[in-house]
Amino acid sequence: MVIVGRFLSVEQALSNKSPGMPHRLDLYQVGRPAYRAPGKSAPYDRRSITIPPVRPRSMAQHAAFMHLDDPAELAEIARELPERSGAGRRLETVLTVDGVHCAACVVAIEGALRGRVEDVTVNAATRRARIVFRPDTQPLSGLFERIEQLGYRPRPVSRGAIATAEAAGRRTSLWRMLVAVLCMMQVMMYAVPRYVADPGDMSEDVVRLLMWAEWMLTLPVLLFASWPFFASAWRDLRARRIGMDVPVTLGIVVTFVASSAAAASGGEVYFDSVVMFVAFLLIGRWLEASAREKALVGVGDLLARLPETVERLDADGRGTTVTLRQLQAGDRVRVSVGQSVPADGIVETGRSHTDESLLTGESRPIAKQPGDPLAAGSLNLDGPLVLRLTRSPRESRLQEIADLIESASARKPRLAQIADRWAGPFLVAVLVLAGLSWIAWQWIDPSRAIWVAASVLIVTCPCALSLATPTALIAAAGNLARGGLLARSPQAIESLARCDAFVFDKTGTLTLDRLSLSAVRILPPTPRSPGSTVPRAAGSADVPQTPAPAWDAATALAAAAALEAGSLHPIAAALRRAAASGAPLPEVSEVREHGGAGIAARLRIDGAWRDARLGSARFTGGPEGGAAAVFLAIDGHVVAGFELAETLRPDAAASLDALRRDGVSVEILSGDEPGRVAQVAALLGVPDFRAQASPEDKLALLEARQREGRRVAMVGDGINDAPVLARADVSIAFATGAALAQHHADMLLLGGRLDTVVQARRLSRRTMRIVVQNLSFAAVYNVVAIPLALAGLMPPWLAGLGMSASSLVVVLNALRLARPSPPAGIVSATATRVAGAA
Amino acid sequence: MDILYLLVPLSVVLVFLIVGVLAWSVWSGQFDDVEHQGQRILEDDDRPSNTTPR
Repeated sequence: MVIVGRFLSVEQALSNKSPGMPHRLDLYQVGRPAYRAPGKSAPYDRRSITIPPVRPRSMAQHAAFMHLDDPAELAEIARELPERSGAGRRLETVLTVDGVHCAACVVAIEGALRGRVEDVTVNAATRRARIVFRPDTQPLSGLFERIEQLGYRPRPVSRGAIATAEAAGRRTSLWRMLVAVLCMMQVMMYAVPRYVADPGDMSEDVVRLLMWAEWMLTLPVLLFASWPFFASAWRDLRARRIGMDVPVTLGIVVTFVASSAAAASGGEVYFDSVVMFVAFLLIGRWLEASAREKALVGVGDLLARLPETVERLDADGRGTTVTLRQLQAGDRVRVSVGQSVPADGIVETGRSHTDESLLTGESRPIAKQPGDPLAAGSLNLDGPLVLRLTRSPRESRLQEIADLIESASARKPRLAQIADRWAGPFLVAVLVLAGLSWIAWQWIDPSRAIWVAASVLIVTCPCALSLATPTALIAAAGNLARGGLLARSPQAIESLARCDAFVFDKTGTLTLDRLSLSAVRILPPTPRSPGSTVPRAAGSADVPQTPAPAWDAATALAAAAALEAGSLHPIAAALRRAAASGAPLPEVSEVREHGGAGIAARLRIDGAWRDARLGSARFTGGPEGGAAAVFLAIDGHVVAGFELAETLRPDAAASLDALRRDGVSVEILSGDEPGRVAQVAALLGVPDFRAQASPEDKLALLEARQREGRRVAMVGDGINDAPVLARADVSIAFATGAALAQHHADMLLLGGRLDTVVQARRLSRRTMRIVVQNLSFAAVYNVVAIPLALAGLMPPWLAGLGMSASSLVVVLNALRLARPSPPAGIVSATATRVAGAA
Repeated sequence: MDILYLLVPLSVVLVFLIVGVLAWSVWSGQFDDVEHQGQRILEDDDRPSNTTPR
């Protein structure tokens, strides 16, 4: 058989290569993520792109996974988790397990590994398993071996490997589907004359001829296209359990064998039903697989945004082309227009705009100038940049996001766990029912008994039921990630949908964690004596006491910004930002920073050097107790005071409004002093707020709300508020600054936009509606279809159609969630400032 | 109607031939990326290794 031979050769090509050899596949090299050939795309170590060879179980097997225990390899595929109770290192890794189709597989793998590992979850929809293990007591190779013994093929998920193996898998499944569809069409052609011809129209010989032609074309469908069902059913039986594919396989085989017998001896044949059933089932699975790929912002997708090679600049500014993996922190790299940034770093020279939508969901271009941070994966839009790397590509933000998505897609939502528990008994019931119906029909009409039993087997396959929840949650998670919100587990989406109370932290959540200048006050000249020092600028000793120039807000601000030019203090940043678009900054020299007090320097104003001080009231001699936080003094005269304020997030008011309109109660909970919290609450129109709350107070308040029967979502700072966040039903944190793994929240906001939370809540509610629709549809379908099949009212072809259609409906319904959600109707207002903070 | 005894087996052979052609097209990567090919004409030609099939 030509086809089978072809198929086997590919499988062998995939499995028999020795480790270290990239598999050659005829892939297009077209800059699209998942299709790249490994040798080209591999931004990481070559070892990571080999697929562990699959051999029959033998002595050599353990060796096949030995390389996974190598520390360098582990670092590539696993993530270190915080240590707990001093029992040794804990690592988290995600693997793809080929051959997982249904709930029963999940139960088998989880059952086999539980006890050996800290935690294991297998997700049938994504074929990903997430394992938390202790490498010191339980090596990864042993765990892989155990999975393989169950009859599955485990593969570590490391960057390039996914792309290669998935590209080959995609081709095989497309190929199987095409064979089935093509054969289905032709078998139908042969079958239709038999159905429509009146008795006597066709001679007995012609009918026979058509039947055997059908039989010929059913063979490739049976032997090749339906192979995945057979393989998975065989795996289930060998492990002494019932999976989804057992009744499917039985249905296919029984129908085919009975039809073949009938073709030989005369009677009804149903080859057309067999091929149609297989073809529709394969179309459904293929659609679901491509949907899953699209919905899940695949790791391959994210990392493929990184360039394959980059131009590294040496000390003289000469560029050499190196691969991504050779880059280290501290390297200088040129990023040309249209290229994406290879690693996190800081702009050294050049001005441009970048597109960071991949990382933050922010679609507007962001202006970049020297000193600004650049994140890996953002796209350089309109000007060449030279970048100094602050982290190596392996540690970039993009990599963190990819890791997080990877581990989230392997976790399983609660609803799916419930479905898993019920699937096993349900399938046993199906088999028993089919057997009983066959026996019963022996009395009713023996000639139809076999067809009724086949219909029951086919029609009751709980595919729709098992796809109902995971597909919807994955589609929603993918959608959220594109908007800049990462869900750590699908469960978070379910919890968010149920929340009816939102508690917000203030600092860094409702307000930006930076200050802004709210006012510049020019102070009237004081009658104090001139400053103690005499200007001694070069060549101008003859004009020591020129009267100070008339100060206005712009010049005072420019002077202050010039003094603060080198300071890292938040106040300095606020002054610099405010002065950026104003008057040119005067020259400064002899800058001395007085810790905690201010800055003293000499400032050149109108050609004369003068003593200048900028800082607290005490340091500069300014009036105490006013609203101003810092003062500028020239030659001992205080000339201006600067008032600073916290900045509300531009979309805070609109987002909170939208939440309230959606019927959610909103509260502010802050550790800050009452005055400021009240001010922010008033600006946002939130009547419920609590200030000066210690972490214990926050916890107590959350628990009180939960005792009232509310489900609380806490939005806060993922690092300082960790214990409070952990208590909430669902927690959301702004993931700015620190490494993502350090944030302890169920969901992480990457984009710094508060309205994402509103949209996320709406999307999660829509998700739960669709999950309920899917589950009830699947349940209703089974309740209606089973009695019909038992009553013999459903011929095999109708059963196949019904079953495949029901899972298609469920998948397509869930896919509605992958479409970008309509804008939440929240307009971003200009930044509102709260006066009085310092 | 005797011609049917030739034509029906011939059609079976024809289907197998088509299946073979499909196999070639799938495994030479023609369906790997159906959206991108239409945009290839818009791409610059300065990195040939990235734009030509291997």
